[in-house]
Amino acid sequence: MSGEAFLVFYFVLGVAVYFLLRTWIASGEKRTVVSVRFAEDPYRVATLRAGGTEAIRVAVFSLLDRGLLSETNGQIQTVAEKAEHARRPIEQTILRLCAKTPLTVPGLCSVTELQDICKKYEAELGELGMLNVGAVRKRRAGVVQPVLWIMGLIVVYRILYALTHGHFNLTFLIIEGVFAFIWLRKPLQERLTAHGEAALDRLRGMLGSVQSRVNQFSAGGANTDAVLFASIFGLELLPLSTFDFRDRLFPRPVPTSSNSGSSSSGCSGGDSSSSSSCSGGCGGGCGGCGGGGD
Amino acid sequence: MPAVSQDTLDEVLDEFVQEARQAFSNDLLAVILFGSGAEGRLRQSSDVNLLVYLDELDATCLDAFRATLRVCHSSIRASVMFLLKEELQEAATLFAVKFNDIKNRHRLLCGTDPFPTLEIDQAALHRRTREVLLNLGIRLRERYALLSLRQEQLLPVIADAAAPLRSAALALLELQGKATGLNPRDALLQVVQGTGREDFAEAVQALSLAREQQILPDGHAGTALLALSALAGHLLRCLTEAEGAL
Repeated sequence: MSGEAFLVFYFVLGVAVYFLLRTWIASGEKRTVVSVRFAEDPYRVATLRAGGTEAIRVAVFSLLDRGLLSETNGQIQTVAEKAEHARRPIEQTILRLCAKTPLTVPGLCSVTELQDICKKYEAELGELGMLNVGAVRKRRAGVVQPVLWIMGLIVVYRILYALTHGHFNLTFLIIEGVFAFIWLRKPLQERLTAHGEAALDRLRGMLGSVQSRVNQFSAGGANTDAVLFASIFGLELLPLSTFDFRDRLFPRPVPTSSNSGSSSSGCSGGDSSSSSSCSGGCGGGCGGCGGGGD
Repeated sequence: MPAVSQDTLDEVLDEFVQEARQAFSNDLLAVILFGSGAEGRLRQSSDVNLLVYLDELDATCLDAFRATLRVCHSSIRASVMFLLKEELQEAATLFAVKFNDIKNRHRLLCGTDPFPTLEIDQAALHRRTREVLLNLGIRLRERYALLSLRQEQLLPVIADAAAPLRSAALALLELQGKATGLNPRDALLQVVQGTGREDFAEAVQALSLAREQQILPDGHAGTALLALSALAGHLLRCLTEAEGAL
């Protein structure tokens, strides 16, 4: 096989293997999506979309909206007489932490106690088969790693074959091999499983109509429109006219050389296990909605 | 333009029914979709009206159902009536127009449909329809006096007039024995066509535009409002005559 023919063959093989991998992953991970029940906890939804830290940010928003927290110059504090009204552990913890001294959102995100609650959300999502962790990650690795080895060995074999036959123009072959490696390795790095992606898509579809009412949101938390919208589409898309604290507390991520162009930038958009710190970057986590686009 | 796709609506309603079954267990007699959602004619401003028909109710069941209700309220604008079995006949008498509409336009989502055997008291229906029409006619005049220079504020007023006028038109045609297979919207169109009055026809067109597309014809909203008030009066007279003829 000539060098050009091999490049074409390897490209076709890589594409075919990628789609086979995707099909195999989807068939093993997809489950029935129960979206209404899942959306009952908006913090769980926020965790699914953008990681544990996003749950803290959405909880802060919800508490502010309900008047259980107050905000002054980017710092939040519990409104003493309403501190007992919260029901969920994440809300109760935030209210307790902000009861004595005002805190910033990044400051709150770095509190270990809150991170532990977020880890419980992540563990729950892992058990539901929505995050690429534990057994799911092991299952993916069990197939992806051998595939990577085989694809790598094919390239190595071809390089050796070329060298032994006096061909030294190997640049395209090496580039193609590196691209194939990066592309085929993607399933190992993804945060969500096929089930998690399907659940998120379903939630976006189910609550798509809320987007058309976004300018009719009223403050006060009388219904779940705003908090569900924030948990699924991102705090950055809330109407500033209604929630004037939005940009002070949840600023849009500033594109940097490392995250510009990425729609899933932000401290909470990456690996779910590495959401321990959000200082300086807590405004991220837009999870593909509104981030990086403006 | 519908705000919620039919697929999404069906999926959410499926889950609503499952959760209702779980929360209310044996006390759940039926879940019924009524109004425009039952006809597949949801618009951007439409609520999805649901009736959860129960044998008995205690607070713990409602507590268990709360989160589902809130999510469904956000996702499909679900507006839910929790009605007890013992209240149905009384409600049908006191809110005869509404329950007549539900009886005519509903879809059973689960359980046993109570409406085929429900008797709507015709006298109560006509009395209530007349009350609604008289009230509407008076209220629209007041809205005209107050708001007719502010066209944008007339849109919701005109859109809200649709339901009582359409229900009244249907009640009138039923009384005249001409309502077979008609929905309230078509009933109003038929009644207006029968009058031969152009101002009524234009007002009903404005009503449909306001309700279905959230727009009003420029400069005609005030005229339409007054014409709708007059239409309410016309329907009221027709109803009274039709009842008298019986």
